[in-house]
Amino acid sequence: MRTRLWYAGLAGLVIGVTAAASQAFFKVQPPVAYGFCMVCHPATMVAWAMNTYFKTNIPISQAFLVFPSLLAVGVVVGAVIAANANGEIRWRRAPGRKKYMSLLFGFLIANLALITAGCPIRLGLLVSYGSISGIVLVASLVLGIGLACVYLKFRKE
Amino acid sequence: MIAVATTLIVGILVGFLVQRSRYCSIGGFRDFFLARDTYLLKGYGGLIVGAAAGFILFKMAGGNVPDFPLGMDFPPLTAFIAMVVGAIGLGFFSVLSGGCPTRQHVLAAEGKESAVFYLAGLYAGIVYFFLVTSQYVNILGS
Repeated sequence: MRTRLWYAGLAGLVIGVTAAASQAFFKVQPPVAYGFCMVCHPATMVAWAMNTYFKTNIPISQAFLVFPSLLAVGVVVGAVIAANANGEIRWRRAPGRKKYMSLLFGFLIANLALITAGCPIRLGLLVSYGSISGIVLVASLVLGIGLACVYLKFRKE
Repeated sequence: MIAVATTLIVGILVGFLVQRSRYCSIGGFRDFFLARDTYLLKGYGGLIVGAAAGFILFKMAGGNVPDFPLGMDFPPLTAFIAMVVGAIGLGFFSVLSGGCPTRQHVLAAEGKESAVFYLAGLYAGIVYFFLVTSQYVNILGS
């Protein structure tokens, strides 16, 4: 099976190693364990654009003061390349209610992730960095996932 | 400039891998809780193991890995409580939305309309955070 060939465990391993290398050798810090975060990096991109074009004064990581992080752009480009190579790009419409719920969830998740310290991947990187608060935050994340699963089971019944 | 180029290259690599493997940080726990499926969960395990091995090896190799291991790095209590509540909410709403932010970027790239709306909300949420929410977070942290 194709999915098994590109094993999720291997993908996770590569994300972890490249995130560590980004910090250690390619100046993607401060803060520490910042090599990969799909909320913080897009946030620096937005902050950079707001500071540049709307003259706001939002604090930005030192690494991205002059040019913004392009992590989100890279992820989309990489996914388009992979999906295109395998004929998986097609417009899939969503029902009206689902669209607006997704919009709301995205809005909430951006705020919650920026309050927390980052996306689930960054929380994992903090655990790898030996952060005790990172361990508590991942445990809280898992608790939230568990509560949502209970809610989904309850709703199904 | 080197950091910017690195984020672009790492992003392309990770975007490719996530699209092919269906990696999702939230989906791993969700599938385990709902169906005892560990395929995606191994991805999150791989992330933690890979990053830990990387930090240790790169520190030994002379890389810039300050304050490793971080240890007891707790912020002020009120701020930390907000972070814990935020993490619970992050997990809860990520399951309802169908995946972690990385996965949603990949799904949007594949042409999934709901993921495109999710990203619109995510980026609007980031702007709102900087303009409004961060004021309250700063009060909690002080």
